[in-house]
Amino acid sequence: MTGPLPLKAIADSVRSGARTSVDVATEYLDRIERGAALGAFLAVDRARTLAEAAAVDARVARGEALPLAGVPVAVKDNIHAVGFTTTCASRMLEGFRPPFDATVVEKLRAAGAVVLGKTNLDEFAMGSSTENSAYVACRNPWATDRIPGGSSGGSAAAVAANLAPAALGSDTGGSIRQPAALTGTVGLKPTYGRVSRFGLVAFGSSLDQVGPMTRRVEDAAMLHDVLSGHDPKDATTSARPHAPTAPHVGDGVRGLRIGLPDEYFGDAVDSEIRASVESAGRALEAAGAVLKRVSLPHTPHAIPTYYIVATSEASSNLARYDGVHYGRRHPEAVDIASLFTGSRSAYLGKEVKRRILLGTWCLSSGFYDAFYDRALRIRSLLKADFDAAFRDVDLVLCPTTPTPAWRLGEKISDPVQMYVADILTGACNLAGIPGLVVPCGTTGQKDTRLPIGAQLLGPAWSESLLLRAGAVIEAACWDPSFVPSFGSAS
Amino acid sequence: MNISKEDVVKTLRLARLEVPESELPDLVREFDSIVKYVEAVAAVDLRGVEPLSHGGDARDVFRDDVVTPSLPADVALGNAPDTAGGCFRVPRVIAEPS
Repeated sequence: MTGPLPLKAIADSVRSGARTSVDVATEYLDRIERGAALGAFLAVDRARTLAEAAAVDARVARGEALPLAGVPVAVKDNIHAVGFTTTCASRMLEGFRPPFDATVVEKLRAAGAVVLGKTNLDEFAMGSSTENSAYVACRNPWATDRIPGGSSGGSAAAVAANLAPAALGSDTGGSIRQPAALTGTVGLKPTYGRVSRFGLVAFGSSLDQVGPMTRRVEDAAMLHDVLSGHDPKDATTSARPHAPTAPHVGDGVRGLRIGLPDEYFGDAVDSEIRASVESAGRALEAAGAVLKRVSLPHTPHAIPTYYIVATSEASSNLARYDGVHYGRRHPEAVDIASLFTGSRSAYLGKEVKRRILLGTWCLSSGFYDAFYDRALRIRSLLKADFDAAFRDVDLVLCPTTPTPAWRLGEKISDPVQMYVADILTGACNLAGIPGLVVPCGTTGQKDTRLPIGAQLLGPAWSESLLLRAGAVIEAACWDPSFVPSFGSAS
Repeated sequence: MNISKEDVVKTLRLARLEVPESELPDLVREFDSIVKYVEAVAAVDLRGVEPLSHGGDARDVFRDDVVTPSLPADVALGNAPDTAGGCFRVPRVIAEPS
């Protein structure tokens, strides 16, 4: 079987006239209809997407050079795309129509990509399973009784099931990488400051990054090159020029030093996952890399620290949902107190309220020093761990998740259990470094197998190295053309 | 640290949130377990360690003080729950003089 095409092949076929952008969009819109039971999408608008595709065909006919000509891209529903609602999977933003494109969407559209629809997520990106969506739970195409991970679970499920050839996700503590690992897809969390967040609904502003979710490493590189760069509308973006990564994806890893951090291979990590990631390490070694054990000693503190920092920032960012400027207003608001409290209480979901509560607590008088300030100091230690490791090695290879995808409902009633799912991904965001997840194998037997993702972490601005190493793992350990037959599952 | 119902009610009020009385016991129990989990940060030796607010390379960022285009008022008001005369409308804030 030939399977889904790489993005470059899709764009080539549209540029050469072998297919039109409308043909490609139609094919994927039809797949989305057939895969509707996965709950991957929150908004699809066939007429709108086909009109966008027709406009791309006209641009191709005029001879415009479009690197992503006719490539359909699904967009996580916390990123603005004009023509579609942005709900963040929250009742609070039901019906919200963004008046502008996120910079990342503007860049995709300028490159000839077509927005295929908006994908499901945990409400305001708060969760690790996409069960916190206020609209519909999302299912893993590999086993539809299991979660796809989160919070970018809709984007991951859409790509895994080939309902979209590529998608955008956002990653605050693992929200691109964890769902990529649990669905057998590729996910890149870029260096903090590499990609604009203008038009991404803010969650944890010192942590959030937008990145690609794709079937193949080369596709992730291609999208990353389009998305990256300074944006005057996001003051946290770096002025440092972006060197294209796609031309170097095939450059290999000969001579690279790759660290295996002891703390990421502990007993808390499922033994099949450890073994699979170790085999990915052997593939890198076979390709000429040198493996080395390293230590990131403060790793056990990463998740408590992450939850303090992320929820503190969230409690401030989500103060904007007050029923005044946008979002829903409680119909019985009679004064300012009932306007604020009534609207927020009625339309924000349980997990969002829990996190706002924790963040407010950590920042409140009497607790600030013991929680928020201490967390920021531990953040320094976590970053220093990585700085020290990257003096010894070029990259780090480790598991992404302690377990494969779990069943819907299994962890939803225990918030701490759910938070621990981020144990191997949160430190990366706290340190601001990039992370790439590449599928490297599966657990279990033929009919119950679940994907495993290898995580590569590198120093700031090392995306090109990560993608090169990821391509080696992919070539040795994975068949990116395989699409799970979710349609026949329960 | 044990979290009491009063702790949760006070913090909810600071965050402009309310939960029904019937849901409070569950929230107190969940919040207690979350605080106990993140409280682990108390055990780390932080002598001489400075706080880090973000991992990026951006420092103070300035732009020229010139007017740039912004959203037209009608577009900016387009998602508002209630508007009047080109403004956001809210319930009365100041009582009428009695």
